[in-house]
Amino acid sequence: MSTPALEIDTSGLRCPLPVLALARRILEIPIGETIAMTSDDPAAGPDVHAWARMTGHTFLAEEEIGNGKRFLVRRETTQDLTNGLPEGF
Amino acid sequence: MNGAPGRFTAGGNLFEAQSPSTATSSLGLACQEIATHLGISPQELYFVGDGPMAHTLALAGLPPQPRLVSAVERAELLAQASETLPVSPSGHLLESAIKANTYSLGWVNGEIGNIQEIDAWAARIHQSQGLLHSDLSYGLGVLPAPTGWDLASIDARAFGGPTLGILALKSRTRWSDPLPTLSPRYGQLHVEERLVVEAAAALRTYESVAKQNFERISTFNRDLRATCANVAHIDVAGDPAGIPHIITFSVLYAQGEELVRAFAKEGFVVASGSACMSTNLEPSHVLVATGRLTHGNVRLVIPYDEPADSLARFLDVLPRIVEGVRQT
Repeated sequence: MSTPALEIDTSGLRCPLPVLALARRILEIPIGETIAMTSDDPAAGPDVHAWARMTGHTFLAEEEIGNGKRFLVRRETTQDLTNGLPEGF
Repeated sequence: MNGAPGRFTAGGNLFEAQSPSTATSSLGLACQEIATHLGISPQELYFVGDGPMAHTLALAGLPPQPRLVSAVERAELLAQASETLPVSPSGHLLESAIKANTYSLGWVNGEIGNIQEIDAWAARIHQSQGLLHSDLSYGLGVLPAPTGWDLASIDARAFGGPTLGILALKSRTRWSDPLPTLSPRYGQLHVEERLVVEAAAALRTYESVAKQNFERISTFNRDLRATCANVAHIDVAGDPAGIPHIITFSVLYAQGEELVRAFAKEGFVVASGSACMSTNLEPSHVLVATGRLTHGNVRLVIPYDEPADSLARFLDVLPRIVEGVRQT
């Protein structure tokens, strides 16, 4: 698998913050590129899957690392789903 | 012999130790009424302390061949599973090869409301010499109960009854009581009689109210799904053809706890399967098994006699609450 264009770490954040971070930061990479997110939230796995389904991005893979997981998602769309949410969310 | 004061019948065996006239006692009538709902005879009923106890004992007493439990069953059933069976996004058991195993598949899911075809599964399982346990708690009194199962367990609180567990054990079913202190005879009472009488009365009331309001609550269910579809990024769980009074949805980028609080401020009592609302920080296993969004989760269990204006107000405040919580 190609190297992710962006690597983010949301360790310590709880739902819905990891998915929200993913939704924001995926906008920084070009369509077709991959973002990697690390999370230690037990809810992150199901949420990243469901978020990708709801927003049209592609869930590529997940792997166990340390006390959490690392998820790979490919950006598929240009829509800004976090539009209207404050920066500090 | 339990030696309880004021009792004449040893061990309290309802249908063997007491005189035939008990069939007309309030307890006898209550047992008869509950049994009729389940399509069995009163001698096939057992009563235990609470619903989780009934579920636990039900599966534990079946033959210890591989126990296959659907992924959306209650935790006390999943804890006894040798294998967990996957379900579809709507919560229905996926097609799989049926063997001579013990299966546990609930009828109406208490979290997302989808309805499993229990009788069809039972026929297939029996064809393969297997056994079927079914949790019938949700749906009893609302819909005609399936009858193909071998052993059923019920939480009486699901239909507004007292804290009481009901075991329905077909006399043909090989089941041995996992508690050595209890006798495996049918019709045995391990709880206070008044609880059984209360449960039967609650079921009677629940059935009558559900029947009168079924169409109205079904309309609310459809309207709520439509409202959710009009608000961006709400993931509705379950199945539009599920039981109308149980609806679960998740709001993307919202926190379950804040949604519960916001609805409470408007006077609505809702639950949540989100991790932030659970004691172990794990999200609801039903949401996970069906691939739903686990954060921002709201679970509604609508009483069938909920006034029309409060249902209308819920639909009215929903978009505003979602927007408010997403932006806090």
